[in-house]
Amino acid sequence: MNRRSWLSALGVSAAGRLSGLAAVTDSQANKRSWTLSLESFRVSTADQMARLHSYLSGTYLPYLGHVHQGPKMFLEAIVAPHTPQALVITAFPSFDEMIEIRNKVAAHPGIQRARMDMESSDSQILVTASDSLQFHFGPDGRQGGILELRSYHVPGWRDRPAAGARAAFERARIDPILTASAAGEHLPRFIYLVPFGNLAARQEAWDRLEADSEWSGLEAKVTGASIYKLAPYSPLS
Amino acid sequence: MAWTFKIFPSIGVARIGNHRSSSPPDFYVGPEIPGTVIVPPNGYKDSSGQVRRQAARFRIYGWENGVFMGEITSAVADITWTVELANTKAAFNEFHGIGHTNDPLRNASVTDRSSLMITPGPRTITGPNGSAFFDTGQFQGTPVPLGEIQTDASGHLLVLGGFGSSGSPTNAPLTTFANNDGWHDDVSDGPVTATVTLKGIQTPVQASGAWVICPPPRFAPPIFHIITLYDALLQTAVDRLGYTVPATPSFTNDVYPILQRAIRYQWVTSKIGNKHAPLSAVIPPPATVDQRNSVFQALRDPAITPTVDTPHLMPAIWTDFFADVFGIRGHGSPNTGHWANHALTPTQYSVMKNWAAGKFINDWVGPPSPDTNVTPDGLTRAALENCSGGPFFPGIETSFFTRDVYPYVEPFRLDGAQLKAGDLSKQQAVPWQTDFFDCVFQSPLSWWPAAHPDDVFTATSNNYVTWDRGLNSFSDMVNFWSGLGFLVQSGDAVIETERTL
Repeated sequence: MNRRSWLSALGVSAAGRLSGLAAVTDSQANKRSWTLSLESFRVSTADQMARLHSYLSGTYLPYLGHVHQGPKMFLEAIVAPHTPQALVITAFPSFDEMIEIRNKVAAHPGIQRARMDMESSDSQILVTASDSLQFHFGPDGRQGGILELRSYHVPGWRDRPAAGARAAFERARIDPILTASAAGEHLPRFIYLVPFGNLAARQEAWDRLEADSEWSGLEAKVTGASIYKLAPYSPLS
Repeated sequence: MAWTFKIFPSIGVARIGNHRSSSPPDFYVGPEIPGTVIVPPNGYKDSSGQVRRQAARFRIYGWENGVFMGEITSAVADITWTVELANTKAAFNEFHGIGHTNDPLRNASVTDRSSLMITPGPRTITGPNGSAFFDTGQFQGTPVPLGEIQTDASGHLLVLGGFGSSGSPTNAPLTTFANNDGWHDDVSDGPVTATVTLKGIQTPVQASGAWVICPPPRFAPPIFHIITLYDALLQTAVDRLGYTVPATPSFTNDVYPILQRAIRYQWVTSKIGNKHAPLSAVIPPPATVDQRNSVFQALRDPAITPTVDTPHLMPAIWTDFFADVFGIRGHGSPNTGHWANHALTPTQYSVMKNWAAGKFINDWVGPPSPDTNVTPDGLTRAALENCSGGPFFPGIETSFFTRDVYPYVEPFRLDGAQLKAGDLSKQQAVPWQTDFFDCVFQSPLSWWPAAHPDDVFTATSNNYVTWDRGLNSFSDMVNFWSGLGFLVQSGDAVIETERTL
């Protein structure tokens, strides 16, 4: 992964991380949307995770990097409805480009062979604004911590969370590195990817949010949550 | 943010075996996904013919503020498991039939009742890769080990039962199918509890508890009972907890399993033989109204008094109220022309009735494939669907108490606070081998052909052979049970393998 080329693909400055949730403005850059592919790979037993990681780091990631310069994050579930599981998050400038890249990847003989050994995989498609991505380069920044993928059903929100939600998150010191809306069932559904130092910090943060009266007034209902750790080979964190 | 934790399966099954090794290649983990059949890659027996034990693996799942989060392992939590196994058969009442409440005590002349109870007490393991043994229990001064617990690298709990070792310190004779004074076996059961402390969060939380039963081996893993323990305890949940099942059954998930189990009984009893072949005509659905009705009309209505004969109706298995039909006490019952058979559960019967009336979801795309994922409810279902759910009389994995008497906190989860270790096995035969010997075809009906096959095929014969051939007495079954063959799927057939008698 070349830092400069990756940033060029996103069309944002090379000033460290991508602009964050707290920095939402009406600038042209912030209006750009991204299509996110969240692809989960499952195996039946924990001792098969080494094989899965070998596939993802040795076959999948190199070829994906060859055909797609955009951001990629590799995670391993530590608490999720389906485990053992690895999750790959990939961002694309458009839905059409995502389809094109995924077709290329699926057609690769090495990947076809490897996937025959996988128990199962599935994916969901999210849409986000570029200002809602805060991925870091390299895995070092979040090694040792956890990341939570958390989804909410909030009938009152439209294509993005209400401003009050962002403010409540800030007061609770919750800083998502991804905020997106989802396609599919139980819409409108909103997805956050939130880093925490550990489980205790996570619990304290959500407790602060739950105690926030403005947040409570939004009547956001949690529809799912999974906790991950970063895979050592993840290009982004 | 409040977490709650539950242990699954809510009732787990660890089967005994006379292979004494505690190393993972020498035992195997029982089914964890419904519809799957476990065939150990190294066989059900080792090269010397010793039967490997089947471990029950328990997992913890977490909910946060009611939202299902997933499995909790040692990667995110410190888990302390506690298990208690006990065998209290010899101190309990004799068995003379369901509903007989004033039966005398077994070993009534023994005043020190505790000497009849094999109660090594609870064992606790904290963290992964631990082990503890239930090796301090005694029966009238004779040590009787009941098995052990282990934790694996992820912090799952593994329970392994006893060794199929039954005996009598006083060399008492074996005289009845259910009540043999002076005898013990080493099946057992007991509560499984756990405390969970999420890493970095110092408050331990007690998980909702489970139960483990450690019954005899399952010799016919590819054959499911027409009424499984899952079916029986689902009915318990419907009757006692107000649990509701879908009003319109699915052909694939509800009807087909009943038909398929009936068809596959051909592999474990010659009395069925090819008589159930016509059931294949209603697969795939919808079949004709007449075809469906002819199947349904052949079923006994569970509303009929259990002791009433319903000649030629199905299933062709004995009633749980066998004692009331014949008034038996002890071993030996008349083989008469009675056809007092055991009906499907009311829920199963309703499924078939709706199907016959055309009120079903035609979701057929072929025989269902097992799920690829382990799920909490799937763990419980996989454990229970491999056990007999009736007739019990008195039971092979557990007794009718589990269906009819014991309290539940939710479907399939017993109220451990109101039960003691040993309660789920105490009413079964002592030793188990005597009832297992007796529960063969008893004209005109079978008992548990999926637990104790009546007749089987071998790899070299196209004719039925008696499965327990060569065992001619209670003592033979006590001494040589491990020589019996296991049934495996072989192409379209189910055949006996690994017989070492």
